[in-house]
Amino acid sequence: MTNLDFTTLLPYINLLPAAIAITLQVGLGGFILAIVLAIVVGSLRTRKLNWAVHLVLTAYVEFFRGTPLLVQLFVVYYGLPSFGIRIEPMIAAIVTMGLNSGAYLSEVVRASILSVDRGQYEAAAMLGYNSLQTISQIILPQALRIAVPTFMNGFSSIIKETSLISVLPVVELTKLGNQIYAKTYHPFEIYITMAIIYFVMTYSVTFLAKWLERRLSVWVN
Amino acid sequence: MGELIKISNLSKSFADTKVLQSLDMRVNSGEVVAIIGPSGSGKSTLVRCIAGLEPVSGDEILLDGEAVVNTASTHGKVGMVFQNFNLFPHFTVGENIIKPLKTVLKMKVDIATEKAKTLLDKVHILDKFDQYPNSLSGGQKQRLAIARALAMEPEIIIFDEPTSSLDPKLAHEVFETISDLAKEGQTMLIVTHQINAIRRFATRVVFLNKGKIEVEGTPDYIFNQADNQILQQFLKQVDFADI
Repeated sequence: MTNLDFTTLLPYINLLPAAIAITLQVGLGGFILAIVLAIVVGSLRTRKLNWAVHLVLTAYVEFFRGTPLLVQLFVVYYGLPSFGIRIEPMIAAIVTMGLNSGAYLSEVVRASILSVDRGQYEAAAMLGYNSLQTISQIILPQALRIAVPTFMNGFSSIIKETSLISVLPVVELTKLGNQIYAKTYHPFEIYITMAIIYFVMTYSVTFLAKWLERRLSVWVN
Repeated sequence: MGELIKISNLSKSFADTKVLQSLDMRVNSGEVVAIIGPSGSGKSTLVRCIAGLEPVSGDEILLDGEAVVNTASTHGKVGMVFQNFNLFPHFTVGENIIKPLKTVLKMKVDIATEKAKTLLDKVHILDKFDQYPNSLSGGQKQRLAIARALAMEPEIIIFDEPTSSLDPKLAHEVFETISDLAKEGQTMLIVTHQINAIRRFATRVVFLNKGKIEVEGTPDYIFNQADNQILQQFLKQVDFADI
């Protein structure tokens, strides 16, 4: 067994904040985009739609759930320029992560909406709510309360999956690890340090999730 | 007393089961009509059709002369109190009344809040204003549901088995509230099994059997005079089981 020497990392420590910032930007950006997509797509998919819209939404959800995120990143960043569509690597990363996670979370939103009691729709209708008011003010708030734990899990997943964007010209945590490794040849020290940083981020999300659930459970039956 | 609801030749089926069979019925303003009958006689279906919650094809049901085909067509005129309360759990007790006033009637918040407080005081749960419905007893939940329906000032309030999920003490509280409304002249349609409670304030009792009105009349007539065989048998059973 080799002797561990973490001091070899010290000269590179000033590069960490920027890499962490990139990871968080992509993670948070992707998550926010995913939430918006999930709510819109998930809500729409609980309704009777015209066949073309239904087809597009189903294709989106199934395609992004049925293909690897890594391949999706390649298609968006390296593939689309063939059609003249060039996207900044950061934007490509956020959009792809958002689309990917949004596809999964939209199914969570759909299931949560379907789990809200029929009586809530009937009560709202009798009070004179129209269907947009019913979904936005009565149904979604209750459905999203049900979806929160899964959403926060999704946030953790996105943070971990940002390591895949190291295949793009973006220096996030994993890419930085690779670069330091190429210079120092101390893989264990480098990658375990990166792993711990990822863990601190995802574990913070777990705490945030618990806090959020406690706050939202005030009115749960 | 003007005619508020006119039902002519209403039939309703679910799959192969005929639930309502060419039923005719009238309700005038100010009436308190109790609908009784065995399980499966079509009581709930009848009131749900009147509320617009069950699709009706043509103009079998007229409310103020206009056809009821869905909830949009009853909008504002019919209030509904459900067996399972159907309160909005994510709104506080006060918000359950304020939010619909704001959203549907575009009422200003301070006016809506005043109105909510008056109504909650009327049903004796003003002290619960800032709590969530999950902290209320069943009887309090149902009284909140009544206050919420009243807030919209509907021409008629429909009660679909309002006390079936409550124990006798809580059911009594709810009937007290309904009785108060009857004294104020609120038009109501009440589906219930609790015939003892409705004796006191119903102006008319309708006995439904197999999707048809078997017999109807004043409470005194229905409970003491009518010699309809099926009604007699039903009353005997309900009396035995009366809760």
